Amino acid sequence: MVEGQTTHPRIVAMVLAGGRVGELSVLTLARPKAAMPFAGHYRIIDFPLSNLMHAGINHVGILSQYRPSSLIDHVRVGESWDFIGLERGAKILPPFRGAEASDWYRGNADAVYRNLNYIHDLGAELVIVLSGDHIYRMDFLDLIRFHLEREADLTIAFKRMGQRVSQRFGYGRLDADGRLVSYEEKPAHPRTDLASLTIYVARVGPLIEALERCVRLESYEFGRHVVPQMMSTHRVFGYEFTGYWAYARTIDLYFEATGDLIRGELDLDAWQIRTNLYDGGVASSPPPRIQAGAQVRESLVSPGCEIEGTVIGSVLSPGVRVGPGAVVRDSIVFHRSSIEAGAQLERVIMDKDVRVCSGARIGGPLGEGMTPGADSPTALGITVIGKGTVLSSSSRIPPGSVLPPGVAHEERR
Amino acid sequence: MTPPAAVDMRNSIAILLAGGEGSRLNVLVHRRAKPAVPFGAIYRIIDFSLSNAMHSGLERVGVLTQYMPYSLADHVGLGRAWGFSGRTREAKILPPHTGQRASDWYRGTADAVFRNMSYVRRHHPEFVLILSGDHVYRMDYAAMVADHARAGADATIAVLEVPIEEASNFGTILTDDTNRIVGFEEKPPVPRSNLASMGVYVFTRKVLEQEIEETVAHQGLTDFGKHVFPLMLQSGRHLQAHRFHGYWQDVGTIRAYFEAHMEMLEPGSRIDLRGWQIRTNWNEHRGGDRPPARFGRSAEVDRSIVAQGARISGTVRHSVLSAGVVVEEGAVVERSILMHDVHVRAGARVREAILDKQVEVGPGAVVGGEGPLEANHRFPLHLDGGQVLIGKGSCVPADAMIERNSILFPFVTLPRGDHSHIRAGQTIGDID
Repeated sequence: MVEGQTTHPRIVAMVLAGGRVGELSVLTLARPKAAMPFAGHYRIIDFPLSNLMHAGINHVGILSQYRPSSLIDHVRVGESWDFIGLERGAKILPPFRGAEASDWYRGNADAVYRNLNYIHDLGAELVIVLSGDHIYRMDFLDLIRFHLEREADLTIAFKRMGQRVSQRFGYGRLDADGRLVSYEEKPAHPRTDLASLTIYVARVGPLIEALERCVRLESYEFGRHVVPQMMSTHRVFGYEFTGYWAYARTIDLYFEATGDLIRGELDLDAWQIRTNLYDGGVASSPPPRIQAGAQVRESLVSPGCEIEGTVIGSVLSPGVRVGPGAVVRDSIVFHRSSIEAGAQLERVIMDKDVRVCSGARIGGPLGEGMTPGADSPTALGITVIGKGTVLSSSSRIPPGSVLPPGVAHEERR
Repeated sequence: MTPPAAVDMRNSIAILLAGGEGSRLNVLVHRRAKPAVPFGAIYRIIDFSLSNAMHSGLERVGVLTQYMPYSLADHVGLGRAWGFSGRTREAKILPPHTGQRASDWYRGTADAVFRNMSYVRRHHPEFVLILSGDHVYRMDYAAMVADHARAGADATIAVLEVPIEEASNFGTILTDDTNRIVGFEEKPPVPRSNLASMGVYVFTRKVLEQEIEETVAHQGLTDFGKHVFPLMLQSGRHLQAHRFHGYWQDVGTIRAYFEAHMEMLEPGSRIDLRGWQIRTNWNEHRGGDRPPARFGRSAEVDRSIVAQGARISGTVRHSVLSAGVVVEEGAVVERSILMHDVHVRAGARVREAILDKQVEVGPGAVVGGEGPLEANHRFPLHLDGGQVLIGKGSCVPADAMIERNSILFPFVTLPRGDHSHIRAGQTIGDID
């Protein structure tokens, strides 16, 4: 507890949901990563929002600047996560024209800095800053308890990455009490495997001081600027998280996280992840129907799906139809796409409203010696089909191809 | 679907009679009213009427409850799941309340409406629709109200053609060739008409006020079908029949309930949940917090409906599985209805059975499909179609055998051993 307080400190969450990373290719042309569908009827932002809900954190600002429409439709006013009522609220905080300087967020720290009035207005003592595009279940109350017990000014959640070490993360070392003693952002050669999950709990006062100082120096990133800044002047701690955590930043990582889901490494039922059932038509969909002659194995099937063919190792979002004799193998199919009779999909990520005509063959395993082209967004040879595409009967789309949205695709030679 | 009628449904309100006990549904109506009985994996029976009201453009629905109202109150809430939200749209549970007289329970359909006339008057509609929450159907009430207005009728009754040999099970209606009603017969032994009343009525509000005052308050009569309409006909009121041609089913018996589910699984079934756009309240029972249905490595599923949160590792054929049902490896479920969170353990076999919520079937147990086909001894009129009926929360131990037409009451845990063989037609347990 904060001194003199007998109840919870007032805490506000800032969810960074603005980013679009090119590595998700055509899937993020019209949506930020946080709005990517995942596990059938969820979107990735459901994970952080559900974590906040379970922790009883009821004031949530969502910082969004890239194509926020799908995110706004999804989050609305946060009623799906019980963020409505007196003393509660979820709000999309878009960039706005300031009195001076440029209007777009110049970095994640800048995004928070520009919305400090949201934190002020709520009279918050603590702020939790997190990314809207990570897949995990974390007990934020435990994190906050850790922060308060250490009398920390800033606490960062870390996770040991083991084999999954990459240059994408920031890496730190902790002393026995959990104090952060060294930190490197995106080093070429990480010296530890303890990576920052970019989940920050901070006392509002010290954070504002640090943000103001960074912005004056034209430094706008948490990992690169705010963390080192605060380490030199304040008490900065690391909280080690041991649960499942995934960042579906690239096509391949997204595909692998879905594999984890199918293998049961994420237990969405136990995690109690909530979503907005009015987005994507879940609440108006009948339960999925498996017709005579269908085969469905090692798969997740959402409301509104209708399966007459074979579905193996795949995840189907609401309203997907798989016709008789069609085969969907090791694939992820988003809302309302239709795989007509006899068509075949293997190792495909297919966006919404795609029509695969009878007999088309999409994707497949990467053959012996085949490597995707240098410009391909996937080393695993995943085939990616953009939203609203029509694939004719004669379509033969080789592994690793990327088709932009809305293209009527006749034949590829 | 009927094209939208040129009638402003904002001038109509609906009273939905949801008090029915539906006692022939036996353990399925233990602690729930008939309209609250689950149907079609994720729905309750009342969802059909509420969804019809929504799609017909109605803005206000008063839901009259009386028997076991909690599950209905939770389910209906403020009606948001059916779009009844905002300043002028609402679905409202109207529980019984003490009135002028000693006996405050509803004595019949007309009595129930009579006691809620203050709700009707407050919204001063032009027309009042009276619905029941007991049937599976899709109907455009707007077309019926338009018919009623066009005919200048005092009241209109929705009717359905039934096979003449079944007509003696219904209240039948005699009409002239303009569909004006000229007579009624209640369950006639030799029917003269095959037009059955569906329990859906439209009244001009002023007529309803006068007639219900006369029948209920002055004459002490209580039922629309038996009393109000025949008296109106006698006194020269204009009663009109509105013909309905779609699917309509009273699922008030175990046989009808079971067969409607089996029919729903057939390709091209007349029960078209998708086309009908039936809505339900997903917030109930964590319905909306559950992940998509999950199929394991050894799952085999054929002609079935499998709702969200279900986990299937065994074999499921021709069955309807509600949210959260688990079928373990080596288990087989055939021609059965499994409600929320039923758990069928490894190697168990469930055939021709209706398992209410949270029933657990132990490993290796056999439920249904065995033993002679003789009606249930205690409830021969409720259960004679061969199905096994297991009440909410009951537990079938490992290697048990439950034969045809048996009933297990809710929250019964059968002991293991000799007592875990339930012979055909037996009933175990009691209503508290």
